[in-house]
Amino acid sequence: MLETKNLVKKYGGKTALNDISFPIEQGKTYLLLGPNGSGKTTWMKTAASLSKPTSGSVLWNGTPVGVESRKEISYMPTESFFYPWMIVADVGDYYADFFEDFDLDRFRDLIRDMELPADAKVKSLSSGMNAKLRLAAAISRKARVYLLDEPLNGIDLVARDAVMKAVISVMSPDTAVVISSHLVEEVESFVSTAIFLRNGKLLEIADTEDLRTRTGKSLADRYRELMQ
Amino acid sequence: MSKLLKYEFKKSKNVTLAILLVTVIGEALFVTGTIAGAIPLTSSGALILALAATFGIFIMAVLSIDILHRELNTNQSYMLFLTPRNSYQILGSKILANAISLSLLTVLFAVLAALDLLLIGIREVGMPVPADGIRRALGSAYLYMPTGVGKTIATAAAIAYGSWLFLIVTAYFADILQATVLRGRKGAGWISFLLFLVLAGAVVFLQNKLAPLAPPVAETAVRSCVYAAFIVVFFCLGGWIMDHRLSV
Repeated sequence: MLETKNLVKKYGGKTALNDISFPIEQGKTYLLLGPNGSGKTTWMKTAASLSKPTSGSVLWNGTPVGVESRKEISYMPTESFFYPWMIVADVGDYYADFFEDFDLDRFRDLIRDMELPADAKVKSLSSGMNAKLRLAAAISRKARVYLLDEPLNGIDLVARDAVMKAVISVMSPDTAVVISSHLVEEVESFVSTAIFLRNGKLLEIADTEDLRTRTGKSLADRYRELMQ
Repeated sequence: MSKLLKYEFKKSKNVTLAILLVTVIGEALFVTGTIAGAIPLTSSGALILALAATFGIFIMAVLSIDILHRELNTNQSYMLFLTPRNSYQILGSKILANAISLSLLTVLFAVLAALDLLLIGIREVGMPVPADGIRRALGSAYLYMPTGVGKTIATAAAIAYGSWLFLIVTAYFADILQATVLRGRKGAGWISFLLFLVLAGAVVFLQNKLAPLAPPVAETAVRSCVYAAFIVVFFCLGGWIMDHRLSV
């Protein structure tokens, strides 16, 4: 459904993604793994059609990602991006205005479960609360693909369970979920495929179940092996 | 498009309200002063209204250019470019919002000016003949007004409206170039500002060459058409560059 083909992205003289290719298939949950600067966020931004490739492409059902793919791909960026004049409830209204697949009731339930006050000013939220808001907005869409960039960043240990529960709720045979996270152990149990990136290059695509049964290694073990 | 337009107005809501508040204060002073015969109050009101009209339109334009700049160069860009709207719709809604704001502010201040003149007329001679009152209130200034002054004002307003909108769209275009083809280059901001000056200057130069070629009655139309044509050109080019080159 989402196909990355020979994707290259350069910023000035720096190569952020270097000729990477891999498919994202429905019904699967992917974990993008790699150290800082490995190209995880760049790939997500390109797949969300926010960033243009230098060469190569990301295809959505055979055509390059763009306005049409944005209707079916939901992206949670790692940085805060809402307008500062917004309150939490405004974010839901904004998404409802622009995304036909947005479920406002689900958004309201999620922000209540995550203890986000609906009338709180977005600019007054802590980084953790802002991350919860970004996640609530992204997963309140009934999208085909969810791209979640560091969904656990800034979220305290106690709240992580609620956040992970919300992430798990969007997994279904019809959807694909791609998560980028440094917290391998936290997400390993429900991830089907791991994509390892380093310095913009694709190192390995591993089926997590296969990795466990064949080598007896966890994703964290394999990550350490590859990145050393 | 209507949703984009709605949020364009929301983004400038506070500044719009501030301009309206200043206008209300100016108008209140003017009306109170005129009714009470207190010239200092009337003068203060008139001054505030003149400043609100001049700077209000200017501030709205600068604000919209600044908003676009932020939306092309900061994470706020995601608010627009994550949505299933293309660059032409995004840019078009900004231009349209500006055109509507400019029109509404122009109409508001024109209506206020007309009402204030009417008030002065009523104050001078009473309700039945306000026009005489206006003539008397304006005094000698009225005598120097040439015949067809209304038409002259309307023509000047049309050109001013077109040129102002053209300047805003040219500034948008320079902003887009800065965020795309000039991105990451040293002095990109200054280069785009220079580009803005050069482009605006070139179009005005072209207009000054073309307008005298037309019959006098069509001169305003030619000037307006040049502005309209370049608004369309910069809009199309800007949208195309955003669609093909913009990475946020």
